Amino acid sequence: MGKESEATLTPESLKTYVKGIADLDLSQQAVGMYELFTGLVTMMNTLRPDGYPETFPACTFRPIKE
Amino acid sequence: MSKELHEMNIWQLAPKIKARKISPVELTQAVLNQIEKLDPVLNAYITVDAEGALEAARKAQGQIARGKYQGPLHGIPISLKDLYDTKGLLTTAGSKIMGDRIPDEDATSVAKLRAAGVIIVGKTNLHEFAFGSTTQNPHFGGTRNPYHTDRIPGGSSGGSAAAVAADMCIASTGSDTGGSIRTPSALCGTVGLKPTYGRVSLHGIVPLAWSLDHVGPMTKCVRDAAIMLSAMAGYDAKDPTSVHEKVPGFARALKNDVEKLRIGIDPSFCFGGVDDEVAAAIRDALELLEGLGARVVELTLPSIELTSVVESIIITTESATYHEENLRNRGADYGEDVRGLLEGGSIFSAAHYIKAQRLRRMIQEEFAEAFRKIDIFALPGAPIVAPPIGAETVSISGVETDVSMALLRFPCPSNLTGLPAISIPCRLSRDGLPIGLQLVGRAFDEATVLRTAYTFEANAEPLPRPALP
Repeated sequence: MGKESEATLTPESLKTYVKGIADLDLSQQAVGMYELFTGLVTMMNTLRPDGYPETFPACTFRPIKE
Repeated sequence: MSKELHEMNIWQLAPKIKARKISPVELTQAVLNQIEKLDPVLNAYITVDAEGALEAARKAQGQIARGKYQGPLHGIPISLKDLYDTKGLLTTAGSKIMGDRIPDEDATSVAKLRAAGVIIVGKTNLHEFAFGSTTQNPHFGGTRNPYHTDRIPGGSSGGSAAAVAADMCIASTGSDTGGSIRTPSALCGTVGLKPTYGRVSLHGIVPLAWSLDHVGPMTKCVRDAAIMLSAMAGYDAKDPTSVHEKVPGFARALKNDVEKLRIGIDPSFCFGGVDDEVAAAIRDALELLEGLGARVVELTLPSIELTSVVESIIITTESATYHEENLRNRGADYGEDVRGLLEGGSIFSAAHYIKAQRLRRMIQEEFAEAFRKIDIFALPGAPIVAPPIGAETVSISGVETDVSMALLRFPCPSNLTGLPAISIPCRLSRDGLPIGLQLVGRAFDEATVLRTAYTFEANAEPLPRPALP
């Protein structure tokens, strides 16, 4: 979800979004976790800590052997 | 006072079984009797296979009588978390969705354990689909902590930890995607080892989140964890994440020696958001190791506080992918808490997931850099002792904190990095509840993790047994 949709996120808009994007009817339990999920969305949209890598390839996970 | 058979551990039993002083049949029967006595209280098992176990025990007894002893696991009754596929035996993943699923093949790790001669007495309870830390299962009932039956055992491998702590098996197995081996081990006073990602095959394990899933042993002592790991580990062509890496004889390499070992801690992470009694126990544990010749090195991992967020995005997104069809078509068959979390995975975008993986790589690099200066990274197994069943929040130094998020804090760095980590009993709290010490090592260096844990165990006061009937 981008910053625009985040700004207007409500439990109802979240239900509409998930129905549209994933064809899923959000349960009451998931709606009850609204604050947790939107909190994570906000963090992911804004996180850019010192040293954040711009070039690492994603999804090539391997343990690092010393 | 001599121990009852079911109270003994693998390394105590193995020489007696080899010498035919104890028979696998009498040992298995003793374990089954203990299950019959205590499972109505603790609810650690989903399935008990008494008939199959006794048949396997008779077979092992015959082999040993004919001089075909296979090693320290031959004739040892163990349990398996109920998401390890077992040929011909119900494997539910703690769910209604898989409530009648009987696999036609063993998971690779199960096949390896069987080849080493174990007796499988049953399948243990878990948080539904391993997605949670309480093991309060809506389909099979909640498991109780053997040290205090009004408390949770932790999760998701809570049934395995409770079964080990209450001598309802000699050893068990778990899976660990966000602490599911180490958290219940810490809360139930047992040993839980999450090996390096790729060390033990995931083939035949019901997945939670592919890039974070690990499986490993849950035992009564460190030596037993070493014995179990040697049997479970090794390359498996059926698992694309499996790694070609030599499997050492971990038990043979154990030494009571931490001389010159460099133990790293990040004090603000290690002692932040932690119950005072847990923090004091970890400080004392580090002091004990220092007294034995180790050196404690304080360091800072700049991004370590991001691990819970990164873990949360990856675990919910990957698990939502695995459960996509069932969520659409059988949503009502999930427990409410798990359904909510799985559906939450659909909220995050592909960009969030990829960003989480890039942050994960950054965290991996920071740990790799730290391990150039240290040999072991230490932290609590869990920031709190076992909370009461049903508690959604817990007070940590006066701050009300969500139980699940609190329990995620310390395990997830090594799920994200894939590094090996163990939780071992540290001591009991004033309320008589176990506190765990967690030790993390370099990739594929389980040997140093086990040696450090073994040294601590050999020099610390052993935990009193749970006061059960």
